[in-house]
Amino acid sequence: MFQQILIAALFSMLQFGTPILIAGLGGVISENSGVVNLALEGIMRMGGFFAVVGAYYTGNPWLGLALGIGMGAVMGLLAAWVTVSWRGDQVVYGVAVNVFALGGMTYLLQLFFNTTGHSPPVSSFSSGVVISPTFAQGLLVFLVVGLTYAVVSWSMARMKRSNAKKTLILTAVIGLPLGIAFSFFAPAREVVFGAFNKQTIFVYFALILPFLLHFLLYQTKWGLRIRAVGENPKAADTLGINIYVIRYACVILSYVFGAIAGASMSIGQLDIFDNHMPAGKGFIALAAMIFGKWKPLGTLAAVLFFTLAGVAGDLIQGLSTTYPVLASIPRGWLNAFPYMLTLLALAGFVGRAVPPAADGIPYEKGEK
Amino acid sequence: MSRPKARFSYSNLLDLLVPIVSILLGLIVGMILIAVAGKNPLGAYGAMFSGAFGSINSISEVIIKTAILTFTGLSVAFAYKVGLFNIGAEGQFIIGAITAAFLGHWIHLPGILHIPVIMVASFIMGGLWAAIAGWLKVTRGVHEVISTIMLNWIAVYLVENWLVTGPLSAVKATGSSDAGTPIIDGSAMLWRFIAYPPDQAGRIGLLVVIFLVAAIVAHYILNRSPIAKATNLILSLVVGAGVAALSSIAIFQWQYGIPGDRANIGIFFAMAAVAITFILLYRTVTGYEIRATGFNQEAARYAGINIKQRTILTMFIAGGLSGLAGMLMICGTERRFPGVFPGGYGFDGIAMALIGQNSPIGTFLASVLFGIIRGGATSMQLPPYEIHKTFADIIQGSVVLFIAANNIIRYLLMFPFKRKGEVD
Repeated sequence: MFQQILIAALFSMLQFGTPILIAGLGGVISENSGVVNLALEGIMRMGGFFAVVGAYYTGNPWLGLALGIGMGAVMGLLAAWVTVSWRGDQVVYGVAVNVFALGGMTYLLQLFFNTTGHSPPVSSFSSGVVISPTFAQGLLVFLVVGLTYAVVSWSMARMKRSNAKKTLILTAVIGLPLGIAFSFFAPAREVVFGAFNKQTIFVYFALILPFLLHFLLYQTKWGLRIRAVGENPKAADTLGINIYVIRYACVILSYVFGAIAGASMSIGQLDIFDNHMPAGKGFIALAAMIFGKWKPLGTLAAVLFFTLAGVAGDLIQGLSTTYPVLASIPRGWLNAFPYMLTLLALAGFVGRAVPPAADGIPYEKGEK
Repeated sequence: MSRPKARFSYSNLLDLLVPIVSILLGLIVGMILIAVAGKNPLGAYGAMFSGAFGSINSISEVIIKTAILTFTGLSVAFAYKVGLFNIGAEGQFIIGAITAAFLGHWIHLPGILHIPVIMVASFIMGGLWAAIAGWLKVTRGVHEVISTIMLNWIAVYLVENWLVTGPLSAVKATGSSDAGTPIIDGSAMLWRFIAYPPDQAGRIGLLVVIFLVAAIVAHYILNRSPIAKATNLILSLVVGAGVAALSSIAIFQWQYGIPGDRANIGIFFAMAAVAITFILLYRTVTGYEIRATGFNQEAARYAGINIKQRTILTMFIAGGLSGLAGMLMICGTERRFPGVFPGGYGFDGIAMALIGQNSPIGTFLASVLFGIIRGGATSMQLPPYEIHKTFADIIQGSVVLFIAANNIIRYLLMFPFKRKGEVD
């Protein structure tokens, strides 16, 4: 009984968290290079819609996803042109995209599908990936190792002893045996199997992405450049880094992630575009990014936490038959909880969140 | 009072041209989208603008939308003056609305007191909600864009998913099965242009207020131009009388109003708010200090202005203005906090302030324009155009997009003059 509830909760956590995590990481990459991306909500909407359009006309969800990504890239290019090259106000631009997407996708929905409710079903990824118990076992090892890596690198940063090699060695020494031990523990295996069976490919993408981004930002020279541009563009410029190339790349990537996040809702979880999408998920992603202190692994942790609050409603409903006192918690409080927590985090009550120093400031070459 | 004459320059003209060109370009983007769909863009726009003035009912909707947009727009514009970007107008709007819905039903006062009490309460509650962001900004260095976004969602969820469906729901209060909060008392309802309640003394009082406000606004505006004091006085009295005369037509025809017509005196409140914020910002010491803080914080600090206190105060007033927008929606239009809340006015307020270049009068003009566009957009839903009313969002979004890209527009407008270098 309890295992069943746990599996159901984890399953919906993964579903709920995937778009938020992907979009949040889009925010991370953009803001680390010093460009605020408030447009995530709008870009998720656009990406989600065009993915459905692509899948509808080609009958192939992969081509749909490609169209969504293409749309995201084009929008990202436009955003970079206006906010990076022409130093337009990034916040105002984000607001504009959100409003435009709201009306624009409704208009296109009517144009393409002659409705303002939701599109007809298209071929999608929503049936999910059926996994084998062996795969679940491997996944469990991956999850434990990944978690260990996150904890190790966090605590090493905390002790100001960040060292890539030591982190990897420690992870291998602690995480691998732990993961393998866990993978022979039947209940854990069953829970992982239950939670991941028939999840969409986006879930796997979302699980790998934070680690990829973490590697990119903190272990490669490009990551160093991105962070340099976000913290002190003038110094970076002096050292011969092309600010514009870095920011263009990051903004476009950010919009592409936003579009993938949108597609993970429309042709991932479902097989339609609903006119209410993404229903504020872009803003939760923004909150997660801040709560995660503009860091990929931090964002992962924040999303895990937010999704817990998000599915807590379902969980509480499931448990309220056994524990009636839980039923008295109003849904509104559960909904608002992640945001309250973010606000507290921002205020410095739950760990201080400091954005990259040059976040939101347009850069002009040769400026004094 | 003698002021240095504003030096005319093309650069000054550009400040005025940028929003106008942005609006035109936004409208053109909309036309292109309509044309792409194989429909007649001019015909559709014709339907939209004539639809906005096609019937008493639609004019009434335009007036309602203009009034609410003006308040949320002023809220954003006001905060901008101290250098803060108030994305949280939506949350403050919702907080003001639920305050009005609560006080409208749960306290009982005579008509002459009920509305003022609700107005003050909605102002304070919306103001406090925004002041949280101001306080976080000055004491904790939290960027107001992020904190107000969070406050928005907290307000949305706590009000819509808890208060309205729980403790304050009509089901709990009166046992009716209606969604939303119970209907507010008659004394809490703003007078619509159909008579309610039949109160002649109130109408005459209102006319006097309108006269005074219009005269004072005209006086202050004329005061900026180099004309004699006596002429100024006479002119402002004339303007005040004219405005009062025009509004008296509306006021005394209320009893002949057409049912279904929801327009109410909120529009006068909105005009008064424009005048008051204008005077507060440009004709008082506090306003000067607020603008000085927004212009150059360090210089303002050096001049002895209490930056922290001014910032929190500005956010409080800005939030209060949004709170009043919520009050207008509840007491004027909806008369309850409905189960499905027609929100979005707070977010639209951002666009109004940006398009109005953050000036009270510009914001009002933008609100009138988008009141018309939003009111008329419903007419495009009919055949032969069948364009959903959210088309207004497309226009609004593209206009703001062009405002964000104002450097490009400035560059293009400067092009004929072939000036090199900076365009400021």
